[in-house]
Amino acid sequence: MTTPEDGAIRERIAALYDTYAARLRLYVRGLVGTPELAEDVVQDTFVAVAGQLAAGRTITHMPTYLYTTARHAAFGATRRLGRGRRARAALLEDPTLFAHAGSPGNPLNSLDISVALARLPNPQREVVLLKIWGGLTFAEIAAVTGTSGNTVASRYRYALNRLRTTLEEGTA
Amino acid sequence: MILDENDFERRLEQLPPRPLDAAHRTATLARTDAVRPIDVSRRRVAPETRRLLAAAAVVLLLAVLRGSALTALAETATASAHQYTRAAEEWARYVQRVHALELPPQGEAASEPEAVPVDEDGPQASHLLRINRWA
Repeated sequence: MTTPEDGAIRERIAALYDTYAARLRLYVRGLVGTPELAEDVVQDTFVAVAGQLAAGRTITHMPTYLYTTARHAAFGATRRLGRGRRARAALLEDPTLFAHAGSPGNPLNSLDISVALARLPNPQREVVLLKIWGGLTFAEIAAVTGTSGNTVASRYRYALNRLRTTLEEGTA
Repeated sequence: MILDENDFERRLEQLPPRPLDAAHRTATLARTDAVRPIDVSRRRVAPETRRLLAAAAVVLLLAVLRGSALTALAETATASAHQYTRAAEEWARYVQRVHALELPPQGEAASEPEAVPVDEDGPQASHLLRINRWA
Protein backbone atom coordinates (compact mmCIF):
# COMPACT_ATOMS: atom_id res chain seq x y z
CA MET A 1 0.00 0.00 0.00
CA THR A 2 1.41 3.38 -1.03
CA THR A 3 0.97 6.25 1.39
CA PRO A 4 1.17 9.97 0.47
CA GLU A 5 4.49 10.01 2.26
CA ASP A 6 5.79 7.23 0.00
CA GLY A 7 4.70 9.22 -3.04
CA ALA A 8 6.59 12.28 -1.80
CA ILE A 9 9.73 10.24 -1.25
CA ARG A 10 9.40 8.74 -4.72
CA GLU A 11 9.11 12.17 -6.30
CA ARG A 12 12.09 13.41 -4.38
CA ILE A 13 14.20 10.41 -5.34
CA ALA A 14 13.18 10.83 -8.99
CA ALA A 15 14.20 14.49 -8.90
CA LEU A 16 17.49 13.64 -7.26
CA TYR A 17 18.11 10.93 -9.83
CA ASP A 18 17.51 13.30 -12.74
CA THR A 19 19.89 15.84 -11.23
CA TYR A 20 22.71 13.68 -9.93
CA ALA A 21 22.66 10.22 -11.53
CA ALA A 22 24.87 11.02 -14.53
CA ARG A 23 27.37 12.98 -12.43
CA LEU A 24 27.45 10.24 -9.83
CA ARG A 25 28.04 7.62 -12.48
CA LEU A 26 30.97 9.60 -13.91
CA TYR A 27 32.43 10.04 -10.42
CA VAL A 28 32.03 6.35 -9.58
CA ARG A 29 33.58 5.37 -12.93
CA GLY A 30 36.68 7.20 -11.77
CA LEU A 31 36.74 4.98 -8.68
CA VAL A 32 35.69 1.55 -9.94
CA GLY A 33 36.34 1.72 -13.68
CA THR A 34 33.81 -0.71 -15.13
CA PRO A 35 30.52 0.80 -16.39
CA GLU A 36 28.32 -2.00 -15.05
CA LEU A 37 29.74 -1.79 -11.55
CA ALA A 38 29.45 2.01 -11.60
CA GLU A 39 25.76 1.77 -12.51
CA ASP A 40 25.15 -0.72 -9.70
CA VAL A 41 26.86 1.61 -7.25
CA VAL A 42 24.72 4.54 -8.40
CA GLN A 43 21.60 2.48 -7.89
CA ASP A 44 22.74 1.41 -4.41
CA THR A 45 23.38 5.05 -3.57
CA PHE A 46 19.82 6.09 -4.36
CA VAL A 47 18.44 3.09 -2.49
CA ALA A 48 20.46 4.19 0.55
CA VAL A 49 19.05 7.71 0.26
CA ALA A 50 15.53 6.32 -0.02
CA GLY A 51 16.15 4.28 3.13
CA GLN A 52 17.20 7.38 5.03
CA LEU A 53 14.18 9.37 3.84
CA ALA A 54 11.79 6.50 4.60
CA ALA A 55 13.21 6.30 8.12
CA GLY A 56 12.35 9.99 8.58
CA ARG A 57 15.98 11.13 8.83
CA THR A 58 16.97 14.56 7.60
CA ILE A 59 19.83 14.89 5.13
CA THR A 60 21.27 18.33 5.67
CA HIS A 61 23.42 18.58 2.55
CA MET A 62 22.26 16.25 -0.18
CA PRO A 63 25.16 16.54 -2.68
CA THR A 64 27.76 15.76 -0.02
CA TYR A 65 25.66 12.90 1.29
CA LEU A 66 25.17 11.45 -2.19
CA TYR A 67 28.84 11.54 -3.11
CA THR A 68 29.95 10.22 0.27
CA THR A 69 27.49 7.33 0.05
CA ALA A 70 28.55 6.60 -3.53
CA ARG A 71 32.20 6.66 -2.49
CA HIS A 72 31.63 4.13 0.30
CA ALA A 73 29.56 1.91 -1.98
CA ALA A 74 32.23 2.11 -4.69
CA PHE A 75 35.02 1.10 -2.32
CA GLY A 76 32.86 -1.71 -0.94
CA ALA A 77 32.14 -2.98 -4.46
CA THR A 78 35.83 -2.77 -5.39
CA ARG A 79 36.83 -4.73 -2.29
CA ARG A 80 34.48 -7.53 -3.31
CA LEU A 81 36.25 -7.84 -6.66
CA GLY A 82 39.22 -10.16 -7.02
CA ARG A 83 42.70 -8.76 -7.47
CA GLY A 84 42.74 -9.31 -11.24
CA ARG A 85 39.30 -7.87 -11.82
CA ARG A 86 40.19 -4.91 -9.60
CA ALA A 87 43.22 -4.15 -11.73
CA ARG A 88 41.18 -4.27 -14.92
CA ALA A 89 38.46 -2.16 -13.30
CA ALA A 90 40.97 0.65 -12.81
CA LEU A 91 40.85 1.44 -16.53
CA LEU A 92 38.75 4.50 -17.23
CA GLU A 93 39.48 5.15 -20.91
CA ASP A 94 36.03 5.30 -22.46
CA PRO A 95 34.90 7.54 -25.36
CA THR A 96 31.32 7.45 -24.07
CA LEU A 97 32.02 9.03 -20.69
CA PHE A 98 30.69 12.38 -21.85
CA ALA A 99 27.57 13.20 -23.80
CA HIS A 100 29.15 15.32 -26.53
CA ALA A 101 32.07 17.60 -27.19
CA GLY A 102 30.40 20.60 -25.62
CA SER A 103 30.02 23.87 -27.36
CA PRO A 104 31.17 24.44 -30.96
CA GLY A 105 34.83 25.35 -31.07
CA ASN A 106 35.65 23.37 -27.95
CA PRO A 107 38.83 21.46 -28.81
CA LEU A 108 38.22 18.89 -26.08
CA ASN A 109 36.58 15.58 -26.86
CA SER A 110 35.32 12.73 -24.73
CA LEU A 111 38.03 10.20 -25.57
CA ASP A 112 40.92 12.60 -25.00
CA ILE A 113 39.48 13.66 -21.66
CA SER A 114 38.87 10.09 -20.54
CA VAL A 115 42.43 9.11 -21.51
CA ALA A 116 43.84 12.11 -19.65
CA LEU A 117 41.67 11.33 -16.61
CA ALA A 118 42.84 7.71 -16.64
CA ARG A 119 46.46 8.87 -16.42
CA LEU A 120 45.87 10.93 -13.29
CA PRO A 121 46.69 9.47 -9.87
CA ASN A 122 43.51 8.28 -8.16
CA PRO A 123 43.29 11.05 -5.50
CA GLN A 124 43.79 13.78 -8.12
CA ARG A 125 41.26 12.22 -10.48
CA GLU A 126 38.72 12.01 -7.68
CA VAL A 127 39.10 15.69 -6.83
CA VAL A 128 38.75 16.77 -10.47
CA LEU A 129 35.63 14.69 -10.96
CA LEU A 130 34.04 16.07 -7.79
CA LYS A 131 34.98 19.68 -8.52
CA ILE A 132 34.30 20.04 -12.23
CA TRP A 133 31.48 17.58 -12.86
CA GLY A 134 30.23 17.12 -9.30
CA GLY A 135 30.00 20.84 -8.72
CA LEU A 136 31.27 20.59 -5.13
CA THR A 137 33.36 23.20 -3.35
CA PHE A 138 36.79 22.39 -1.93
CA ALA A 139 35.30 22.23 1.57
CA GLU A 140 32.61 19.79 0.42
CA ILE A 141 35.18 17.66 -1.40
CA ALA A 142 37.28 17.61 1.75
CA ALA A 143 34.24 16.34 3.67
CA VAL A 144 33.56 13.64 1.10
CA THR A 145 37.15 12.40 0.84
CA GLY A 146 38.08 12.87 4.48
CA THR A 147 41.04 15.13 3.71
CA SER A 148 41.85 18.78 4.40
CA GLY A 149 40.76 21.65 2.19
CA ASN A 150 44.38 22.57 1.44
CA THR A 151 45.14 19.04 0.28
CA VAL A 152 42.10 19.07 -1.95
CA ALA A 153 43.07 22.44 -3.47
CA SER A 154 46.63 21.36 -4.18
CA ARG A 155 45.48 18.06 -5.69
CA TYR A 156 43.08 19.96 -7.93
CA ARG A 157 45.79 22.36 -9.10
CA TYR A 158 48.21 19.52 -9.88
CA ALA A 159 45.48 17.54 -11.62
CA LEU A 160 44.46 20.44 -13.87
CA ASN A 161 48.06 21.09 -14.90
CA ARG A 162 48.57 17.43 -15.64
CA LEU A 163 45.32 17.22 -17.61
CA ARG A 164 46.32 20.22 -19.71
CA THR A 165 49.75 18.77 -20.37
CA THR A 166 48.33 15.40 -21.40
CA LEU A 167 45.73 16.98 -23.66
CA GLU A 168 48.28 19.26 -25.28
CA GLU A 169 50.58 16.34 -25.94
CA GLY A 170 47.65 14.53 -27.51
CA THR A 171 46.63 17.41 -29.74
CA ALA A 172 50.17 18.46 -30.69
CA MET B 1 49.55 26.73 -26.20
CA ILE B 2 46.30 25.30 -27.52
CA LEU B 3 44.34 25.46 -24.28
CA ASP B 4 44.21 28.74 -22.44
CA GLU B 5 44.83 28.22 -18.73
CA ASN B 6 41.91 30.36 -17.59
CA ASP B 7 39.57 28.86 -20.13
CA PHE B 8 40.52 25.26 -19.56
CA GLU B 9 38.35 24.68 -16.50
CA ARG B 10 35.31 26.25 -18.17
CA ARG B 11 35.77 24.09 -21.25
CA LEU B 12 35.91 20.96 -19.12
CA GLU B 13 32.66 21.95 -17.41
CA GLN B 14 31.04 22.28 -20.81
CA LEU B 15 31.40 18.53 -21.31
CA PRO B 16 28.32 17.03 -19.62
CA PRO B 17 28.53 13.44 -18.36
CA ARG B 18 26.63 10.97 -20.48
CA PRO B 19 23.17 10.33 -18.96
CA LEU B 20 22.13 6.85 -17.92
CA ASP B 21 19.56 4.98 -19.96
CA ALA B 22 15.88 4.90 -19.07
CA ALA B 23 16.03 1.27 -17.94
CA HIS B 24 18.47 2.16 -15.20
CA ARG B 25 16.21 4.96 -14.00
CA THR B 26 13.18 2.66 -13.94
CA ALA B 27 15.07 -0.08 -12.10
CA THR B 28 16.47 2.37 -9.58
CA LEU B 29 13.10 3.91 -8.80
CA ALA B 30 11.56 0.44 -8.51
CA ARG B 31 14.18 -0.49 -5.94
CA THR B 32 13.75 2.74 -4.00
CA ASP B 33 9.97 2.20 -4.01
CA ALA B 34 10.50 -1.12 -2.27
CA VAL B 35 12.45 0.53 0.54
CA ARG B 36 10.53 0.69 3.80
CA PRO B 37 11.52 2.21 7.13
CA ILE B 38 13.88 -0.11 8.93
CA ASP B 39 12.31 -1.84 11.93
CA VAL B 40 15.25 -2.37 14.22
CA SER B 41 13.41 -4.88 16.43
CA ARG B 42 12.86 -7.21 13.47
CA ARG B 43 16.09 -6.61 11.68
CA ARG B 44 17.86 -9.79 10.73
CA VAL B 45 21.56 -10.29 10.90
CA ALA B 46 23.19 -9.85 7.51
CA PRO B 47 24.86 -12.97 6.05
CA GLU B 48 28.26 -11.24 6.10
CA THR B 49 27.81 -10.37 9.77
CA ARG B 50 26.70 -13.92 10.51
CA ARG B 51 29.80 -15.35 8.82
CA LEU B 52 31.97 -12.90 10.70
CA LEU B 53 30.39 -13.88 14.03
CA ALA B 54 30.83 -17.59 13.24
CA ALA B 55 34.50 -17.05 12.41
CA ALA B 56 34.99 -15.09 15.63
CA ALA B 57 33.34 -17.90 17.63
CA VAL B 58 35.65 -20.51 16.07
CA VAL B 59 38.69 -18.39 16.83
CA LEU B 60 37.51 -17.93 20.41
CA LEU B 61 36.92 -21.67 20.80
CA LEU B 62 40.38 -22.46 19.46
CA ALA B 63 41.89 -19.96 21.85
CA VAL B 64 40.06 -21.52 24.80
CA LEU B 65 41.10 -25.04 23.76
CA ARG B 66 44.67 -23.96 23.30
CA GLY B 67 44.57 -22.30 26.71
CA SER B 68 43.21 -25.53 28.27
CA ALA B 69 45.93 -27.58 26.62
CA LEU B 70 48.59 -25.24 27.92
CA THR B 71 47.10 -25.36 31.40
CA ALA B 72 47.10 -29.20 31.37
CA LEU B 73 50.71 -29.22 30.22
CA ALA B 74 51.69 -26.83 32.99
CA GLU B 75 49.90 -28.96 35.59
CA THR B 76 51.74 -32.10 34.42
CA ALA B 77 55.05 -30.29 34.60
CA THR B 78 54.25 -29.06 38.12
CA ALA B 79 53.30 -32.57 39.28
CA SER B 80 56.55 -33.99 37.89
CA ALA B 81 58.52 -31.29 39.65
CA HIS B 82 56.79 -32.13 42.95
CA GLN B 83 57.65 -35.81 42.51
CA TYR B 84 61.31 -34.99 41.91
CA THR B 85 61.32 -32.72 44.96
CA ARG B 86 59.85 -35.45 47.18
CA ALA B 87 62.37 -37.99 45.89
CA ALA B 88 65.22 -35.58 46.57
CA GLU B 89 63.96 -34.95 50.12
CA GLU B 90 63.72 -38.69 50.82
CA TRP B 91 67.25 -39.21 49.55
CA ALA B 92 68.47 -36.38 51.76
CA ARG B 93 66.79 -37.93 54.82
CA TYR B 94 68.32 -41.32 53.99
CA VAL B 95 71.78 -39.81 53.74
CA GLN B 96 71.28 -38.06 57.10
CA ARG B 97 70.30 -41.38 58.72
CA VAL B 98 73.35 -43.09 57.29
CA HIS B 99 75.65 -40.38 58.64
CA ALA B 100 73.94 -40.59 62.06
CA LEU B 101 74.89 -44.29 62.40
CA GLU B 102 78.62 -43.42 62.08
CA LEU B 103 79.44 -46.88 60.81
CA PRO B 104 83.07 -47.37 59.90
CA PRO B 105 83.79 -48.34 56.38
CA GLN B 106 83.87 -52.13 55.88
CA GLY B 107 87.42 -52.37 54.43
CA GLU B 108 89.04 -50.50 57.32
CA ALA B 109 87.34 -52.69 59.98
CA ALA B 110 88.68 -55.92 58.38
CA SER B 111 92.34 -54.87 58.27
CA GLU B 112 92.65 -53.49 61.83
CA PRO B 113 94.33 -56.01 64.36
CA GLU B 114 92.37 -57.29 67.27
CA ALA B 115 93.01 -55.49 70.53
CA VAL B 116 95.29 -57.45 72.93
CA PRO B 117 94.37 -57.37 76.65
CA VAL B 118 97.16 -55.81 78.65
CA ASP B 119 98.00 -57.20 82.12
CA GLU B 120 99.32 -55.11 84.99
CA ASP B 121 102.69 -56.76 84.67
CA GLY B 122 102.87 -55.93 81.04
CA PRO B 123 102.68 -58.11 78.01
CA GLN B 124 106.04 -59.70 78.43
CA ALA B 125 105.35 -61.06 82.00
CA SER B 126 101.98 -62.39 80.93
CA HIS B 127 103.57 -64.34 78.09
CA LEU B 128 106.19 -65.79 80.45
CA LEU B 129 103.52 -66.85 82.92
CA ARG B 130 101.60 -68.69 80.18
CA ILE B 131 104.75 -70.39 78.96
CA ASN B 132 105.59 -71.53 82.50
CA ARG B 133 102.10 -72.89 83.01
CA TRP B 134 102.24 -74.94 79.76
CA ALA B 135 105.64 -76.21 80.70
